[in-house]
Amino acid sequence: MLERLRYLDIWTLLATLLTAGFGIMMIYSATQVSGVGTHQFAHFARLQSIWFLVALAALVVTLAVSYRVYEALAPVFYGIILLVLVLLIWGGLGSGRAGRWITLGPVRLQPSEFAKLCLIFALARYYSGKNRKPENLYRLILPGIVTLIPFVLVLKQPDLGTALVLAAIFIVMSLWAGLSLKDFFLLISPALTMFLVIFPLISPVEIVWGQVLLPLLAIGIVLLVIYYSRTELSISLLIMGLNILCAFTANPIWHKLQPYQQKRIITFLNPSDDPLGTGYQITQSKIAVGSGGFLGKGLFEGTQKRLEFLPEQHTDFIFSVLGEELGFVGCTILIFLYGFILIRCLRIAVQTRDPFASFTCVGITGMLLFHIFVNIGMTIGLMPVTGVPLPLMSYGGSSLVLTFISIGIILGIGMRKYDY
Amino acid sequence: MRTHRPRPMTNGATFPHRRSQRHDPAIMPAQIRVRVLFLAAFCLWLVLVSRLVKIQVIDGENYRRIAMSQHQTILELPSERGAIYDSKLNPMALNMPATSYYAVPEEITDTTGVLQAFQRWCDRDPQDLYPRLAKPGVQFVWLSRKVSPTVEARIDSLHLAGVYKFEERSRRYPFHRLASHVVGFTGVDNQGLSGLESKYNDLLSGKAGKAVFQRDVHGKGFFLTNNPFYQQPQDGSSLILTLDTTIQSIVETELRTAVERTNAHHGMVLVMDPRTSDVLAMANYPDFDPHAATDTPLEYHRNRCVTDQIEPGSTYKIVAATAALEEGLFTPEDSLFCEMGYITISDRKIRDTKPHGWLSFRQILEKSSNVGVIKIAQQLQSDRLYEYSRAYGFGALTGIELPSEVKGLVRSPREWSMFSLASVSIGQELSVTPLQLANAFCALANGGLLMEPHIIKEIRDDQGNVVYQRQPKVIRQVASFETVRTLSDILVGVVERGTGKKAHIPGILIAGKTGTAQKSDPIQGGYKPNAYVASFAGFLPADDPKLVVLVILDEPKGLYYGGDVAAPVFKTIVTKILHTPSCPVPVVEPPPMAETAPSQVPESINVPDLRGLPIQQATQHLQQLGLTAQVTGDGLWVTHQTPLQKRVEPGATVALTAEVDRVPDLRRMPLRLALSRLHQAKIPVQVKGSGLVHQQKQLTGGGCLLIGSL
Repeated sequence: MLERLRYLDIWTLLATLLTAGFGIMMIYSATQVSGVGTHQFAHFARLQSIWFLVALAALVVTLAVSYRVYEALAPVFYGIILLVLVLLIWGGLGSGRAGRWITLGPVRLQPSEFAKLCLIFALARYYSGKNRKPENLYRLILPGIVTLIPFVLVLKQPDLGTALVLAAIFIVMSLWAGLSLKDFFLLISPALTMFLVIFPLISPVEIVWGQVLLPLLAIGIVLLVIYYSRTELSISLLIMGLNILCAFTANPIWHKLQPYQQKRIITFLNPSDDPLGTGYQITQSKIAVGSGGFLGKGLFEGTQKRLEFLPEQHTDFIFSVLGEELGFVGCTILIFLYGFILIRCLRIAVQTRDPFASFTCVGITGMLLFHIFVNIGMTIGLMPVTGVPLPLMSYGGSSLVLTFISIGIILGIGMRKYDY
Repeated sequence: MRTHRPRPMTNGATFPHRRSQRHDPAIMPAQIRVRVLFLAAFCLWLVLVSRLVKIQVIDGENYRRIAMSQHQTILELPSERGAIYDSKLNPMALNMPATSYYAVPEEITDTTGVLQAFQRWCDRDPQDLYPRLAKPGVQFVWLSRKVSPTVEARIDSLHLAGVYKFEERSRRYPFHRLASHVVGFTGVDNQGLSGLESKYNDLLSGKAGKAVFQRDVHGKGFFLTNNPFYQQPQDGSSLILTLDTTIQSIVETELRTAVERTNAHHGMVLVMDPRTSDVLAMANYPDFDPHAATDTPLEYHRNRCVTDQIEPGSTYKIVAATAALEEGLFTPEDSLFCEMGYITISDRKIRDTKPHGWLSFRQILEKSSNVGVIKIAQQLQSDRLYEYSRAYGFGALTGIELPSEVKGLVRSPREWSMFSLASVSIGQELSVTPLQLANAFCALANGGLLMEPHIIKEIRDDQGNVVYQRQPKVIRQVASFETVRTLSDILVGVVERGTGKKAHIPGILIAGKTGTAQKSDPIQGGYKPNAYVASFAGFLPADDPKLVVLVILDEPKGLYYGGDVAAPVFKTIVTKILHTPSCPVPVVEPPPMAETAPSQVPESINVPDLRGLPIQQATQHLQQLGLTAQVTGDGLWVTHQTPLQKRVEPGATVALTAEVDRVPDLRRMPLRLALSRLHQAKIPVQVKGSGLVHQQKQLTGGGCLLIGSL
């Protein structure tokens, strides 16, 4: 064990700790609002510091565990998490009502956070098996089902953000398994068609015949791709069928969405549609980040933050506080820190010879990347508001512990890369 | 081992990629997979960073402005408006705290009670107020601005819900109507709307400060003092006028009595100090109350002394007289035949009040003979008459610190008709402002020096530092000191024996001139029948003038001659001024007649002060008086003189020294005479003090500084 510590990627670990420390500082700043007395300022930062220690301990424990254990236990983890998610939907666990949380004494846990890791293990175990390369789309059916079950359960909570993370994990790991870009396109084409059906409904400008022309266009492109790539007939028919099905069901599905979900999508596409409602969050976040300018207003000096114009400023919108107070320079530094961590993780994924370990690394990296992109994208108006936290920065114990464990798993794999 | 089978050329090969698809597994090679993932991650990075560049670096300033407008309110901190004082520092305009009431309609429980209370105490029409209160969504309605303390007590005792007080500053004018045309008035937000309040609004109002309030998302405000935008308000400056409220109130009372007694349309009075052309009183009647200015017709707000132009009539005859004397065309004793009551000029008859026959120059003015003055003007000719008109300042703005001054109309001889020379000489076919006329008399009283008139004496900033002080400024020398003294002497005769007898006050020597002008009819053309402007302009004491008073009554009913209507007003005003303790004119015993009758040959001759005069002019002057001149030196003007300021026997010798390029020694000479002499000699001069020249200093550059002492 101690011998392996030689191969511990100390720089990734340091970057992770540094980013988490940065996060605690920003949480401290984000909770300094004018309406609250000074004694309350440090409350969340102190809690997050405690979670930081817990997460560090979890990371150290994770380092000690070999990835072989996860490989062996992957089906068990998967089964447990499905059970928990089902129970959560059934009637809630612990004292909380039905929803996302499990309350265990003083600690509230979000099972959907752990669902991501469980799915990564399950998919890694599947793809590391023999003859599992996704040469054609039929090969994606089994891993697709593995992903779809937790996806639906999480969506039911409802937690669109985490559900999308699960989908992203599936796509990244399938690509790593060798899914061709053509198949990737065909795979997501029904979703695109669906989007194009809905788009005229929510577009700020009226598109003449949009409800008919746009889906026809999408299906036409899919047909062209199928024809030129000589895809098998059965797959072609399946994809075409799915596309047409989506084209026809998109409307009813849109109307079945929760109004708040509809609104989020609408305001993402056109924030000025509802500047005081859901669009308010995006607009305010953009104002805060934009007003930070190149150098920012100075640490703890953010006016939009202090005067509480920012929504959820210590959790989902922590990046807006950073953008306002430390400006473009601070944002870029954070983005480079993340970039550094993720590139080191990918390096480990490439270096390790064990397929399960490699898939796990890629899955985790993809998950973190998706989190970071969706969260930052949300604060600067690139992505819809989905409630995805920013790893290592946002206030929240589950997220921090899970992120540390995830990075711990990758570092553990890195330590054992010569273990074959 | 596989063998290669040749492919038929006709079939296949249409899809070149078909082969690779068949033979390679349909998965991405590991190398490419890694690259694709790295590239995808890199693209996402690029998207984030470029978006940050866009909103933070490129649009940053714009978002900063939006953020500011969202949470920042710049609040104006009002500055205290400066006061207006008279020359004795009596406040004529100042600020008092005043309470205003406003309503928050939502919080009103008893609407009828509110409507009744403000109808009863503040005269607020419920018909007007109710819709404002009832309008949905309105958060703020003024109920009454700046109420009196009694009303305040009444309203407070009612304890009306939804009615709030707001402390404001209200402009008060302690002298009420006094000099309201000069001081002006302010609107409900203390902005100057007329008079000096308007003209000097920026100066008086000072600079409002700025405070920055930040509001959080719940609307709660925070006051920031350590903000770069914070600005302390700077209070306004104060004006100190040349007006004397004592004289002003005498003038206004008398003017009002006169206008009411004569049933005149309106009247104007100006009192000025000829030594500096300071305006001591400026009155118009009808007047208005600056606290409720909007209750009086707009016409009454006009300061007619500067905004109205009138045909002056006979008072204007001083211009032709000055010109004739100065040009040496006439002496006071030269006689002219004034026809038998009228003169015909290009088919138009200009009449005198009665046939005069032969009159001396002096008598022409004393009796105000139109025919005589026209004959004098005919000798002068157009150009010179015009020249002297302009020299007296007619047809040009005086530059007084009052708004809306007009310059009157004095046409140049090129535009004159055959008839114009005659008209202009008796003060018709031209228009002047009362201030121009009064200032012309100031020049006459001030040894021929036309000064710039002022009504503001000093401006002090909010700390009490003097930031401006009016300096007496000579515009030009209209005529020589001698000419002017001769004319003054003639004008004394006007009051002693002539048309201005009703202005005579025993014990003080008054020079004056009456005027009765027909009013022109702007609609019909020509002159209105039975509509006259009666005026009297005079100064005193004639031998050392300290006051110039001009009285004008517009369209008096009944008697309309200036001598009958305006002269008595002049007399009462002057008498009352002489009885005030602060009167600038020392009351003296009536001087012996001998001194005022120049026709009498004196037993001893008072040697005139000839210093500064051209040598030739000085010797001529002595010869006329029957004295002998003895000149030494080759200079151009008299630098020393003995005897000086003494009486001598007729035929005595006076020694005159004319040193080359020396400034004449002018000590003990009256300052304004000295000024006039140096002006003639074209020697640059600076003046301090007043009275007699006490000290004289050479300045570098050939100029001369005269220091006077009273």
